[in-house]
Amino acid sequence: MSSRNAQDVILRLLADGPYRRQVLSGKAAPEELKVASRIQVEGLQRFAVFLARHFYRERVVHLLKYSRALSSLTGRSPESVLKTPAFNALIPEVVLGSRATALQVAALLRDFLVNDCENIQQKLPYWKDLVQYETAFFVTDSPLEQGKDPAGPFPFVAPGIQILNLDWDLPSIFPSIMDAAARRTTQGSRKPTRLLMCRAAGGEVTVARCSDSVEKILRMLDGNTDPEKLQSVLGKDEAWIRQTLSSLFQIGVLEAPLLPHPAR
Amino acid sequence: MNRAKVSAGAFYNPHLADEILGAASLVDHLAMADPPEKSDPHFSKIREQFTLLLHDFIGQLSDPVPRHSLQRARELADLYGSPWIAEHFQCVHTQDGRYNVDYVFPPLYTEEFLERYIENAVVLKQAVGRPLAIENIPRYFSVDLDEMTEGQFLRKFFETSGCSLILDISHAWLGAYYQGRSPQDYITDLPLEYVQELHIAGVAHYSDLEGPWIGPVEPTEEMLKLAAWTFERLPNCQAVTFDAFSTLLKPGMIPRTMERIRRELNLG
Repeated sequence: MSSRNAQDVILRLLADGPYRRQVLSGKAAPEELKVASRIQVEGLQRFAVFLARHFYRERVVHLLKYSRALSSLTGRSPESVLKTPAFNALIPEVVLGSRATALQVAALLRDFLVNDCENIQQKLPYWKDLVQYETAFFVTDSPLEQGKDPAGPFPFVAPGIQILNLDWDLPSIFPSIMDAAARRTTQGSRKPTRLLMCRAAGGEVTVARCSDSVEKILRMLDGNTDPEKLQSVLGKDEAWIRQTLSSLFQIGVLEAPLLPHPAR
Repeated sequence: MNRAKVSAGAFYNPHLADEILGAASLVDHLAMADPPEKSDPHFSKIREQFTLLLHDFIGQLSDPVPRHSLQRARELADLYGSPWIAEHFQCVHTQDGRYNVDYVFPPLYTEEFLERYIENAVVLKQAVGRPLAIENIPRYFSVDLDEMTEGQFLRKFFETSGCSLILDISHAWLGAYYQGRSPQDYITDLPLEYVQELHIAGVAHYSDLEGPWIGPVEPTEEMLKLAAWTFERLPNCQAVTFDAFSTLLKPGMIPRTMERIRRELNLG
């Protein structure tokens, strides 16, 4: 095995808990076992645990910045979940950056932040919506392991997008959450709000308001529906359809492997 | 060495921008670990007031760098007016991109990696059109797959690539600690004549590691004295940088540490 490939084995041993367990119990290809036999195992195990906590701390701090900013009012810093027995128990199963682990960590975050939160909800009536939003963002930030094969010749909705139906207009509340003076007094505006969340191929997560028309587009475009039908169903003009589809392609909501140009 | 010409600086931590802007008498340059956020209201002043250094944008030079990343690195270096750019001696993601520890982690010290680093470093340097400095990264656990020591690897790399070394003193201290050597002995094995920039930071205790590791903390007196001892042995050092970049950094830490570094290294 080349040393570059040996390095890949070491990196996977650090990043992939189930693989680490398998290799260290002797169940792997001979070449992988040979690499593992040259590593100080206790140090590898400790460093893997350190990396798991570090990896998710970086993401929680960055992606749950609103609930973090509110921690002086809630008494719950989201990153504290990474020091709980529940997270410790998850570490052997962690695959850094995977969607599966992101879903598990998001579930821990949700439990930690909203269980027995009546007193927080009284102060911050949008709290549960905020946690729903931030944990969805956290999950969307991680890449899906597998793409989706196109079902037909037309554009289709990319796998992994999320649509959130909220009671509170969170985007209008966010600026005041980040303002230390305003966050104590802001009650926010209670208004049914639908948001679309997606991850582009480059990794950037976009959140956009999702109108009824856009939601219909997402329901219709399954790969077998010609986008030209949208105009009659939605009652929108061609320019609107073209612009909307172009935007949805740009942020990664739609995929069209068989079409030469997104908006045709 | 003409100490008056040595630039002293820190990392740009956007949440401490006001304080950094107010510490112009202590800070000459700022290393930029992340591109500026579009919403950063301070960046234009930061750019006006300090020399900026592009730091660790590419991530790893063990594999060919994609064309778009070379282009972006050039754009950022131009935006900063970076006199040189910096990368790490690290290999943090697998070749297929599936696994990424997203944290500093050194390569195996082998001829194959040496060739890869030289080839990709030269490509990066030429694409950006600026000198390239690369920082040493410590290893926490031992791996018996090296073909040479870290010091030999670095010396061969710098002799061939035309790049320079960023010597991180806390990384060297940690490397020595986990090999059971004295830091001075460890540092003496490195190609000190290639050091262009000296990084100084602290180390913190981590229970997961049952020992010290890189942390966003102030250097101890011991670490500062080791930095001063090393600095005396760097004939070509042009900059000294307090290497701490984290949202955990509290106000006061950067100016206080800059004062201590300037005093200990006699940088005026």
